[in-house]
Amino acid sequence: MAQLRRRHDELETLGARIVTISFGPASKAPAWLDETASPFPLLVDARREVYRAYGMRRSLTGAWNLATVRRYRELMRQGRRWRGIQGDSLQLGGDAIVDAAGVVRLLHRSATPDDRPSVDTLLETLSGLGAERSSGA
Amino acid sequence: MDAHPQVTAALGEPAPPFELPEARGGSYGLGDALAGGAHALLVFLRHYG
Repeated sequence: MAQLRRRHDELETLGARIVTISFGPASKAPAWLDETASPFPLLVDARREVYRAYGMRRSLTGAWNLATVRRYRELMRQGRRWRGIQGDSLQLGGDAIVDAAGVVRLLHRSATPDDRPSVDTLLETLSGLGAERSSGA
Repeated sequence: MDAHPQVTAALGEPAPPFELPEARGGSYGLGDALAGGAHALLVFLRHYG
């Protein structure tokens, strides 16, 4: 999230509108928005219907492993506050890019909490969409 | 809530539409994200942790 925020301008220049989606309780959303200073819309998918529609995974071994523990330790070292498990602790996230015509052009379903496409990969995909648009493809 | 859970997104296929509550108020959907010819980058969080 921090990387997306830092490179928001680059993403916007390529015509992207960033939307975050969570299945956590709506009551916890304001604290998360304050803590992350996220400027993006935060949608609350309490029933995870959109998670399912986009095929986001649930996995015990994917969600909980040594890397996850290290990641939480690092976040707490950075001053993030542990708020306990909210909702389904096995649910994983992911990323999707939908082009202006409503077609899925990138779909990454995380296998672990840290398994995310790099911002450079997202920018490359968006840049490709811009090139297609320019060429009339 | 206007999600379509029976649809599973796939590369190159139309994205499943949705409309969800927005944490700052109101609701927001895929159509809002794409308005004006924008592309949408959907970031599914693991949770608020």
